[in-house]
Amino acid sequence: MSWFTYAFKRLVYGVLILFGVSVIVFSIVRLVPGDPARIVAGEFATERSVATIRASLGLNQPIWVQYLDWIGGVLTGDFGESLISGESINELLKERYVRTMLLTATALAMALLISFPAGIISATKRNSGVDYSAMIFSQIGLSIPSFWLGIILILVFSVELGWLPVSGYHPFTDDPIRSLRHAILPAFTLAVVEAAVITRFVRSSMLEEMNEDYARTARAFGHRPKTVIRKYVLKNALIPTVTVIGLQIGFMLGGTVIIEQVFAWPGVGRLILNSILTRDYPVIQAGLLMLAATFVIMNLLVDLTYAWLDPRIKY
Amino acid sequence: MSDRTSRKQGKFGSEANRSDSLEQSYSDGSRDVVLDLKDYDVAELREAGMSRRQYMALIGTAASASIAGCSGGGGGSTATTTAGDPTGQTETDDEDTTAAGDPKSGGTLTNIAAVEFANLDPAFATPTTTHRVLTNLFDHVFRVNRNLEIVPHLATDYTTSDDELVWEITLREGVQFHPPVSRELTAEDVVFTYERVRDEETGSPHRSGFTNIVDISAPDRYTVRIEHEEFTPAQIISYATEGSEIVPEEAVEDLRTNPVGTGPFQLNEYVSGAFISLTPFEDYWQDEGPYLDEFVTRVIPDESTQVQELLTGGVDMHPNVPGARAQEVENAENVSLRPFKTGWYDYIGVNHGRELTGNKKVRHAISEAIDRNGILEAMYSGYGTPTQNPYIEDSPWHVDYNPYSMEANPERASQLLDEAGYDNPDITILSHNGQEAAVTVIQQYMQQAGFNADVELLEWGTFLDREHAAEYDIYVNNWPMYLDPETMLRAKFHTDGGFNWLNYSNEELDQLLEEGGQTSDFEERYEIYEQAQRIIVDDCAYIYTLHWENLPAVRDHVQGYEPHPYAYANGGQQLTWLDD
Repeated sequence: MSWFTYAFKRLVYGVLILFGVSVIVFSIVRLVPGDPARIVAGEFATERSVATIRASLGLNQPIWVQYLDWIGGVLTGDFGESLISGESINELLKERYVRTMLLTATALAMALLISFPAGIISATKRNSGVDYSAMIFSQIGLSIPSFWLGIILILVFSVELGWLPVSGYHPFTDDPIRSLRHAILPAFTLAVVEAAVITRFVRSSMLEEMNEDYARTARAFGHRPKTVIRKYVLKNALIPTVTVIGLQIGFMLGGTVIIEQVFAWPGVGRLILNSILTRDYPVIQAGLLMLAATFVIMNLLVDLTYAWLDPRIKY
Repeated sequence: MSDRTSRKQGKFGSEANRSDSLEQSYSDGSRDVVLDLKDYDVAELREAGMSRRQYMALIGTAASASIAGCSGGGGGSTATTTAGDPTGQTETDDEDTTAAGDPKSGGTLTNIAAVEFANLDPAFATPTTTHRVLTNLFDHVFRVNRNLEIVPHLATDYTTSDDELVWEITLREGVQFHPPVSRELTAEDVVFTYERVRDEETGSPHRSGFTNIVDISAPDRYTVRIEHEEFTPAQIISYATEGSEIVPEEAVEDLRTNPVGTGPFQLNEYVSGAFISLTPFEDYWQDEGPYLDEFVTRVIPDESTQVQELLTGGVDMHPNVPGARAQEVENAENVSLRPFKTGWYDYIGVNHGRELTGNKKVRHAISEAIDRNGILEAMYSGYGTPTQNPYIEDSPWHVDYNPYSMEANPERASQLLDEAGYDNPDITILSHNGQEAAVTVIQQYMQQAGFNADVELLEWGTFLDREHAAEYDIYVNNWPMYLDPETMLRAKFHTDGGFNWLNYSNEELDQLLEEGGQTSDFEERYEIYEQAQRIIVDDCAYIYTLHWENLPAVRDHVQGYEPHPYAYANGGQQLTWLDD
């Protein structure tokens, strides 16, 4: 099977998965008790005005009609309008998604910058002080709840030291420096867990590869240890690590829900959380579908990178 | 609980610093209220004088004040003599506003919104956070002033037919819409706005205030003629509050993200989910203010983050500090807390359709079992007043009637349960996350009094469903004080009331409430509603527990900001200015 056939096949699977997601998401949001019409109408609305609003939102139609309406729109690239604000969801998602991506990308860059050096040094200097401290830090990073870490970082870097803004968002195109200053703390909070996971993974796969026959042979041939690590071991250790990074991007997207709340970052995560609280069905559906699509595409990209990392891999 | 508190900003109420002078100026029997002119500008004085009697009758503050002083500078910087005050007391200004002198122009004021602005179109906006912004962008034909009276705003005068069904409202000339509309507001705009909200197709949550309109027209450029179906004393409130902001037809499609009004500020920039920035509107019809160069409201959902932003100067003010954080803010340097009374009350709703809670003795037992001060402490760090009545003391409708124990009285409660023939009955207390602290202590009090009390805490949307379907034994929640008893009492306790989710029905009360809705004289209405309130308290239709205070906080350089007792007008920043 050629690379292209494989990619195409995976793409088709991806579409099927997303179709499944759409059905599940659509049903789940409607199984949750609570009525969007009542929330639109406000707490102090009478039954009659709730009923009127329910009708005007199209919520009194049979559920399959509602689904067909919605999926028909989605297939033509139109996610519809928010029940609560009436805004176009396409517009809403577009701007929110870019913000979340800015956050996730910064976090990923931070995580990689921390985890690769840490993982490699830990593996090569196994059982040294450096190794132990890296492992202790990664254990801590894995165990800290991110909202708590976020609050602590705010207290230290914004309240005590006054280096960075407490929270908020500034458009990147308007003022990149200011935008990044706002992004540092939330991105770092998000990066800590990822860095911890990836460090451990880099370390263990490096150790594994270092004990392989080819590494020993290379050393026996008299190659300098640095060359062996860089040229052979690291490259082979990358394959499982890349898989983990791909999965971690997915988890990071999930993590943004909490981070965006703490740092007042107006991204997809907060949009979804808000929509759940207000039962804004089409926005929840579109948001979750979008995150699922990102997840699917990330995994596809990871699988396709294998061929580049290891030319022996055939699909 | 950030979402909940922000939604629950006091809808009506009165400032703490005014309440003292108000209480003392009630003259016996006649319930006259002395007007305090501290915050009036000259234009407002003129308007208020013009047709005060009519409005007083409606709202109930039958004011007899003679106007002896008037405010000069912004933000109430001059003290006033209230000549009608029987105690001769002169109110002193808040220290923050007296110390600073004349308003300075310039600067950016940054405020917090705890929930996102879902929709900036006034016909649809419901959260208080959104209205704190909208009140700067839009004008109403009438408005609620600081004494909770309705006075003309875009109107200069209005007349009614003898049966009070047909109104002719004269509008102010020279009122301009913001760019890009940039034209004069006319009677046609008022007609358009009211018809739009009234139209069922629009789906506005504020529609119910406009369904009484039979016909509305614009006989000439500055006159609006409205014909109503039936007389209701509360009608004018709809033309002064949420949903009645005058909007221009040509901008209506984009109002949800691009609001265009006639208010003192105009939209500068709106980044959905992040912030909204307003700048002064140069052609505003009033001369005074705005002094700010820019007014920004940032969306910050997390309570802890909100407080850190306030303490570090990332924002200049917080519209309502969560009760649990009040101490932290009060102890901070450069920030001051400005508690003021709202008419919001917390209460225990009772399902009268269930066997246990349908029993009057059991309801009395609950009322005796709870420690109202304890609930106040747990929920609002003590900022508020324990009560057994619907209206706060500052309200003209207040009745001082507290037949039950304010402290916990478990012995009396157990005795009442015995008399009712129950031994340790099972009861479930329903509520939502925002009331967790209150529910926890209420459960303890009830356990001590011999109930087998269980708690069911739900997320907000789910809770609403259960409340409205009357699927509960008792529940804990809070509500705003409505200006008129029509909404405050009739809608809740009349057998056919729109908010009667209690299965409550009391023929005697129904009659009183109907009578009150057809009476226009304040004294007569007061007598009727006094009786009605006594029945409600005696019968424990609701078990009222407390009135809480709103807790805005500002950094010290913020001047001229006075929390408006009507919470939806609370974000008015026309007169706010920043000291160096």
